[in-house]
Amino acid sequence: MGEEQQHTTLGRVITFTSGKGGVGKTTTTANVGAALAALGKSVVLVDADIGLRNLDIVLGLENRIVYDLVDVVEGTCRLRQAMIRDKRLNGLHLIPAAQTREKEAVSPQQMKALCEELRRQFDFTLIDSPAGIEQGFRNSIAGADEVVVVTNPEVSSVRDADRIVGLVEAAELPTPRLIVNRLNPAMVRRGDMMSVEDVGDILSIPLLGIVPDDETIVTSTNRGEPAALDPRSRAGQAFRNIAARLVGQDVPFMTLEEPDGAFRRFLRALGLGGNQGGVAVRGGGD
Amino acid sequence: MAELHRSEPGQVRVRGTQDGLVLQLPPDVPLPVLLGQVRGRIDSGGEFFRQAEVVLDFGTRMPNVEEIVALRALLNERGITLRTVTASVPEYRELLHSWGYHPLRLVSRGDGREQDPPPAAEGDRTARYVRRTLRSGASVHSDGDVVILGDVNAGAEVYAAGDVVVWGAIRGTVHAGIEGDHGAIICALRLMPTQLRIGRIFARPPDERAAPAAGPLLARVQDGEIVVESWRADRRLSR
Repeated sequence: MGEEQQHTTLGRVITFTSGKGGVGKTTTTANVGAALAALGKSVVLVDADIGLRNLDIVLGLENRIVYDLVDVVEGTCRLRQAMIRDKRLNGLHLIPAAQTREKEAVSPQQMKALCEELRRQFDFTLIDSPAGIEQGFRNSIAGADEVVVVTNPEVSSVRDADRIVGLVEAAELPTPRLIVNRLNPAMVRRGDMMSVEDVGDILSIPLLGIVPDDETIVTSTNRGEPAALDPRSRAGQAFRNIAARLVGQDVPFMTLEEPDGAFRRFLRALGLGGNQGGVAVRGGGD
Repeated sequence: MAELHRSEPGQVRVRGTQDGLVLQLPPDVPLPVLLGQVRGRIDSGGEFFRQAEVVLDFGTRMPNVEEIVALRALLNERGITLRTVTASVPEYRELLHSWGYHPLRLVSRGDGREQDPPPAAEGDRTARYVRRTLRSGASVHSDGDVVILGDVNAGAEVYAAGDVVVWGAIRGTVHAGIEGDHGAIICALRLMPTQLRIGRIFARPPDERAAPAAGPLLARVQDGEIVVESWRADRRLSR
């Protein structure tokens, strides 16, 4: 566990949250983290979902856990001891959640102090927030510089995302960015699913990525192999694009509809349309 | 939606008055029952009571210190401030005064037969100006009018004694004229509300979701019903 180098510039702390459970927060955190590490960045993923540990499974690291987040904040172990290095990617690390404790085992102040420490060592600290708006959520944003809200294109998920955006604004953090996860373009075309435009109309926050509904995510998650590392996965491509946007690359959104449809106009309204005419139109995937 | 207005004897009533929210305590109900009722009212009221100030109205109930202390503790527990304690029987008011409370002479509305209060004159009206989108969970309350530059999203609530003007979309619940003013209006650029309320009249959009009308809209009470119509610049609002 030799990630000892101290950065001259401080890294970024980004919290992934959603309000509602089951929208794909953990999968998104793991995949964006893996994609950032694949870009050569040093990354640590923090599972803040104390009591409902999951992020280790998605990364296939569950059998390597000795110490966890609560051990770190309680001083039972040193930070480096709780940090698990990923088996595939050199730059990727995980601090797992405690499974046998509850959210109250960690305070916002302790999370803040931990994030200060991590930002000195890593380019990116990604925090996987628990569902809900209670202490677990407050802990997860306590030390964050930026927040990414993950939502599905359905009414209850968007409602909860809206609540979360309000709470993030009240915490005086910058306006969060949005990932619309599990979009099914065929259902949108049939009018059976909210479009990204519908979601954006309600939430009115900048779009960071659109992840298509992709069955292979289920298998890759169960196997502990992030889809972002699979060049054939459409969802994986979307996660790689999100990682590229986080490091400041101008990756155009691939349209899910005809060029210059309502969708493209929406993106342009958000300042994301870029690249007029030069965007490949693909069957689905961002 | 009439059941929302049902009031029964022996029950705590919540009233909106010119002095803010009033909890009207029934006579002849023992303290534990009373506490249970108040708790139920507050907890079912959701955001309505959040950070509210309330007046306890003992009405014809004999005030006693033990009850006031217990009720105050319950309110504080829920983040509600007790503004003052009052009663309708003059001797009780004097008693309360001797204990350091300042009993208000609540604007009487009779019992259940409330009348529309006279609308405030133009010059006296004050509006609360909100320059952001109200997201799910947000609540705005005003003794006057409310102007919002932004949307009122589903899960957000606006309560105003007067009019509510939204330069944006209404997707949540908006209640104008909470003190019973049926001349109050609600305006919005887009109207897809969860529920609209004006005075004591409640309305929700039909279950069959029709395309929302384009252009700015105005909701007002006409013949005991809330009607929604396109905004016309030459409209004269009868107040």
